[in-house]
Amino acid sequence: MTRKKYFTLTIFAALVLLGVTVYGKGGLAHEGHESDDTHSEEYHSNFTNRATLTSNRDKITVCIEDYTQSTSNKALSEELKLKTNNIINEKVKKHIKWKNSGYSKEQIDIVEGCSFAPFLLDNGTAHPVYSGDMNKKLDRVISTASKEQLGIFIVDQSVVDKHFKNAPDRWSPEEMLCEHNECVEVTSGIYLTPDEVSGNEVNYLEKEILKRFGFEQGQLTSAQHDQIKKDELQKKAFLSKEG
Amino acid sequence: MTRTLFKLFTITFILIMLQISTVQASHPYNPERHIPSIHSSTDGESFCVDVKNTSRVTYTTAMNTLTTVLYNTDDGWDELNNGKISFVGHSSGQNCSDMTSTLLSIYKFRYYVLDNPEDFSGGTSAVIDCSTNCVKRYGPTSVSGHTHYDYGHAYLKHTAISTTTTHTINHETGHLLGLIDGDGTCTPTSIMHSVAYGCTTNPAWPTTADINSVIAESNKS
Repeated sequence: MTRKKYFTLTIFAALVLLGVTVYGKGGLAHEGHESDDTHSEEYHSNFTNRATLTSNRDKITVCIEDYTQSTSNKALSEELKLKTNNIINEKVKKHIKWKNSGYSKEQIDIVEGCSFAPFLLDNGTAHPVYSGDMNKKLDRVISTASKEQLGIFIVDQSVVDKHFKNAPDRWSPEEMLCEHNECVEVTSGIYLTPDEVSGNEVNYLEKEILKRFGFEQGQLTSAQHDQIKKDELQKKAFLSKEG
Repeated sequence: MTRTLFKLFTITFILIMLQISTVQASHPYNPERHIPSIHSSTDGESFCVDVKNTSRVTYTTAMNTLTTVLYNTDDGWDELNNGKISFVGHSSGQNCSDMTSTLLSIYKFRYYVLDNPEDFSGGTSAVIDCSTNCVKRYGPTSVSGHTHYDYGHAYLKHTAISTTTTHTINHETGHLLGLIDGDGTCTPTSIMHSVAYGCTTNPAWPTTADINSVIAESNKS
């Protein structure tokens, strides 16, 4: 084969390569693809792969508010804000998982006052995940996500007793955003009592915040371990019977 | 010069083949929302079932149907990627909603069987299409450009247990593993590209493209 033919073939192949690449990316984009290393948005979706979760947020805002019936006072909210700020700066941003998390690309603001009320304070609702129940009132479905992504609420002990008895943490979904046949939690809440905010319970707050960032998993109890073993044994028995 | 051109041509040809195989081999895995246990060899995909909102399916039937589909290692999702994906069902006969919060928190995959899923679309407006089946994801955390959810709920119409069993269970489980629905494009063949999305068949089991997508995501850190 002559040099000219090789040259022509190579140019042709390069053009095909370019075409396949463009087609591939176009196809993926059509399926909802977005780059995860930039802040470009899905033009057709309210969701984003950024840590902000929704395309109407340009930063992560943590709001703090006191919802207690009896002890509500501004000083407690200010104390919680200060402690939260310290935990974000000293524990979250210095955590070994911080750099590779999506959060490291975002600005984090902490503000007093939330634009939404804690979902679990509504009468008659149960925890959407830890109760195991389901009915349409168990989620707050919204069409536009609030600017705040995480609410840290000071609530009465009775609220905690009602919704978090035996629960592994104090998290609850606050807002669900839906598209097509899928609903996704886009706003979360952490529920704490006044005693847990003031006094020496700062480690409790720290653990809850680290969990919300995915930096702490929590330990399984022995009862949970036992159940997992039991489940695995039953699966083995099922599979050996089947085959 | 001829040898150099030959090498250049060969390299370009190989790159074309690689690009084509990437485009064709897997169902698009976006926007990358899934339960984190798919990355782990030690954490199984523990699931429970709840039949309190159906009068047409018993707990035993629902659990037996789910385990038959989800424990199928030949055709299904189970034991993929050297066991990184390994479904384990609740063994004590309780509905999800009958467990204590402590016990329930083990089960990250939850299947709710309903007589009327449309009644459970959520909120006061029907912003989610749950006329047949749908999913909800809870507990988000952001990990290097994709999002983990601690818990996934699949809502299955009772017919998913009694008639359309295999396809529907595998389709909704595909969502919980992170796959998105079809958009009318039927290639590659996928458990997510069903008749409801304009394709001609409802595959009973995940296809090679689906398996490849989930394995690729499972291998990410």
